Amino acid sequence: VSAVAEWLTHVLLAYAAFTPLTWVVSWFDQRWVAVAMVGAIIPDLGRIDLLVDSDWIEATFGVPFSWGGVHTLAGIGLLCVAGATLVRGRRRQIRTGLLLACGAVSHVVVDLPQVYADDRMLTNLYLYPLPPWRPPTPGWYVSPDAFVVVVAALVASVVFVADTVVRKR
Amino acid sequence: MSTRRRVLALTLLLALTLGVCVQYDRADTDRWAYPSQGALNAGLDRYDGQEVMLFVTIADVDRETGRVTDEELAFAVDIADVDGSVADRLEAGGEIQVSGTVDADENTVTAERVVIDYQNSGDWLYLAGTSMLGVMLAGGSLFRYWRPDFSTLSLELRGERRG
Repeated sequence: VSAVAEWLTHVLLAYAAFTPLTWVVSWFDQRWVAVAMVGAIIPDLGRIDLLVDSDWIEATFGVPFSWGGVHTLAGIGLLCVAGATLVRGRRRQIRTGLLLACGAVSHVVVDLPQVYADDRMLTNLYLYPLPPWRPPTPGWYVSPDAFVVVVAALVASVVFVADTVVRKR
Repeated sequence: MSTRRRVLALTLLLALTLGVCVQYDRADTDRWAYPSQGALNAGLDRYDGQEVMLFVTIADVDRETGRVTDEELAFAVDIADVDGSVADRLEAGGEIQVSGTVDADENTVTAERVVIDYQNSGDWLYLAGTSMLGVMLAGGSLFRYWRPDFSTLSLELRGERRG
C-alpha cells in the first residue's frame, strides 16, 4: 500500500500548522517547529523498504515482516519516543517526543483524505494495534497530484509572511 | 539520563519497532473486510462473487481485452467495464487501486472502480524528487537550530553548552 502524499507537502504543512504556536506559547519557538517538521516524516520511514525490502527480510530471517508497521499508531509512537532519546534532559525529551508525535499526527491527517477505490480511508492500517475502522474518505487527491504540494506551499508561504510580521512587532 | 542508558533505550525502542513490523504483517490480513491478496492467489474459487480491493503494480496492460496483470497476482484484473480512458492511461510500472468482484470462472477480478495512484515512472520520479526536497527542508530546519554532539551521542541546541 503506497498511496501517500510526498514528504515536501507533509513538511510544509507541519511548518504551517506549528509555527502559529510560536506566537502564543512562550517556550515554543522555531527550534521546536523544526522538530515537528521532522516528526512529519516519521510515519513514512517505512519507505526504507526501497533499500531493504520486506520480502528480503522475510526470506533472510524467516519471519513475517512488513515495513508498513512503521505507518501505524504503534510504530509511530515507538519512533517518537526513540527520537526523544536523542536529546538530553527530561523536560527536553518530553517536549521532543511530543513534538515529533504532533508532526507525525499531522502527517497521518494529511494522508487520510486521499482517494481510495472503495471510498474508505486506510485507518484500518494506521490504527494498528487498535481495532480496524474505516470511515468514508472525501477523496481529495492521489499521491502524484501536483496541486497538493502547491496548496501546501501557498499555505506555508502565508504563515511564513505572517510569522515575519509577528516577529517584527 | 546517561549516554549509555539513552543508547540502550534507543536500541530497545528500535528493536520494538521492528517487532511491530513483524506483528503487523501477521495481523495485516485481518484488518481488511476483503480477502487478502495471498488468499486470492491460493485460488479464486472460494471467493467467487465476493467484493475485493487490490493494490496492483502493473506488469502489463492488454488494451484489446482490458486485462491488467501484476507479477504478484496469480490472476488478471479485468478493467474492460471501467471508463475506457482508464486503460489508455495505464502503463507498465504504474500502480492502481482496484475495487471489484471476483470472477472465478475467468480467473479474474472484474474491476468496478479503478484509481490510478501512479500512472508511470514519471509519477514515481515526482514523488521521489519532492520527497527529497521535503527531507532537505526538514533536515535543514533541524540542523539550523540543533547540532549533533558526538561526545554524548545527542542533539544539542546551537549556541548552548550543557554539562
